[in-house]
Amino acid sequence: MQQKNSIQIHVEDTNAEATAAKISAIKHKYFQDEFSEELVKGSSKKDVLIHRGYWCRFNIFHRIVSTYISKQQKCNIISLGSGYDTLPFIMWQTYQNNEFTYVEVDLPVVVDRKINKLKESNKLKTLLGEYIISQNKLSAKSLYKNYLLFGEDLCNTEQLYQQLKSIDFTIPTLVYAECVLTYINSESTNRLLDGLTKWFPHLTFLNYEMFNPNDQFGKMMVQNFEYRGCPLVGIDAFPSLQAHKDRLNTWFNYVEIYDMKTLYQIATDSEERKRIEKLELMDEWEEWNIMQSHYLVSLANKDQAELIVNLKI
Amino acid sequence: MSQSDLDRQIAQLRNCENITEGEVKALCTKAREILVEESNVQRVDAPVTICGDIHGQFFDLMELFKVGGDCPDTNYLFLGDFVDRGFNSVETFLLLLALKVRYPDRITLIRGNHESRQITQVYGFYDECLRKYGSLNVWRYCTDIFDYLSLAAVIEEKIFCVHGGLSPSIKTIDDIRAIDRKQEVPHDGAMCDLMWSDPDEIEGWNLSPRGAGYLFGGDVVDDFNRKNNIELICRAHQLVMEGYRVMFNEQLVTVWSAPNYCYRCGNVASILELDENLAKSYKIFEAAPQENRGLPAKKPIPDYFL
Repeated sequence: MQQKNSIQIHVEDTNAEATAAKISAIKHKYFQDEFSEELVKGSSKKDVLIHRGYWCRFNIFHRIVSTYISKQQKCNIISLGSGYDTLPFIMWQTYQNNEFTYVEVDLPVVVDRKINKLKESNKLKTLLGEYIISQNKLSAKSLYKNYLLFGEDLCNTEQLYQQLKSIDFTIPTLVYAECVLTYINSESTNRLLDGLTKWFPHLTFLNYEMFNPNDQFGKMMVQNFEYRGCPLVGIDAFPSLQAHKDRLNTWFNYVEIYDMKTLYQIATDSEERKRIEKLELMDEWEEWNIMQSHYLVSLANKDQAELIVNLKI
Repeated sequence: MSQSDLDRQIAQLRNCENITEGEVKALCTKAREILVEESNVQRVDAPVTICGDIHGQFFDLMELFKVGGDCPDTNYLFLGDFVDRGFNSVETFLLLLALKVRYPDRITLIRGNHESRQITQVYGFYDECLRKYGSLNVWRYCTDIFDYLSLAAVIEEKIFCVHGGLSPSIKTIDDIRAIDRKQEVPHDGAMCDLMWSDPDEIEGWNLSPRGAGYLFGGDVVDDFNRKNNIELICRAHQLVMEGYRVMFNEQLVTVWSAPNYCYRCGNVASILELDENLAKSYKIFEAAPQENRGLPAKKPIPDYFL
């Protein structure tokens, strides 16, 4: 138990750090997001490689979630291990007339902090209205928007189900996770995927995480995450793209999966890419390619006929 | 600055301890007197040991000296990119510069694309100087010295050494001699290309994904080597996970000397030793173990996407 707590604290740190890196990219004009700074104040300048990587990921996730919301009458978006994700706020700002429910789940310690940040931010209050906050302060519901934020360990599938029960399971539902499943053992992830696919008949699953732990870069990556106290416990069970694909095929009949090096070329807006490539000189070309070869995105759909959005543009 | 002063500074820098701002100023003045006399294409005698990018990885540079021998016992040629990315660019560059002043005939430093005012503001050296000295003077002294570094070297008229690679504006080595090098690295043109270009499995020339310099193919290397009576182009600039990479029928080699680059890449590093007959021997080395990294023994944590 002791050990688990200490790991959770470190995972929480990665979340604030990720947002700080995003803010550095935002400040350098890679993308726009006026909400990140409502959640994390200040950030040091990050490398070009980090800027580009966050841009690439944001560009892909933003496009997929946007398409999912705008192409359907009604849908749910569920962000697992959401941390200080701001995509729900960006979506409400952009799609004011679309009907969608946004759910964010993370560890209780993260959600507690996020709720405090939400309460402090006038900008978010204007967007979301007042919040109904549960007595244990571990869940919040917005009065203006269909927004639900709650604290739950993703390994507790049954509790997760209980917390989700207030939303409509029958409508199309996009569940996404960014750098989340890699911190969870593969048995728990399997249970989670098993649950999600059972509960939601019209499910799309979008995942971003590290992989490829066995080459020189991968070994160092595993070592570095272990050193900082948030070991990549899920990485070894599914070391390759094929292993990830095979796993997803257990529940989904349509699976698209690429490494980020490939996705940078085929899944991002080419005009935007040209624009951001001019922002800073990139002298980290080999490192960029290696690093991006150790992150993947997968998009899986229960029913190919219901496919709303593709990874590849 | 007396020789004993200089020896003391070298000893201090070898311990990764900084010298004073005044000492940096004096060192740079002295270094300029030496470098201004060097040619754009410095002639170097064999035997010599060629080293690629260091990037402020000071403790790994100490590993390099363990593997390659100390200066002045070993004659060294460093291919640039002394600074940026790593945590000890200041100590790394000043140590190499102090060795240059102390043993000018036993160490040759040529310029990499990171020896630039613009690039160091993006990749760390600028911030490190400001943090360690509380002002920008040291950064100014160092970047002024960068302008005096040679652009290339030729070993025994047979091996052409440069940081990045070739340029479509350069046909002969004499073309490099005609450049006025005492300036900031330009955004394009011959001087820029020498520091930014990369070899690639293509024909002819192509645009570089880095946004500066060019990609050049084996045919370009064939041509250049034949025209200039060169046997080998030796360059750095690109991370090679195995420490070095030979290309184009052994007409070009990339030497990379920053192990576990950015404390993240897990790569090994190498140096290339050439004996008096120019026979080659690559020596591979790994990053300095944690216990050799001095105090505080805090392991640097690199950035990932989280």
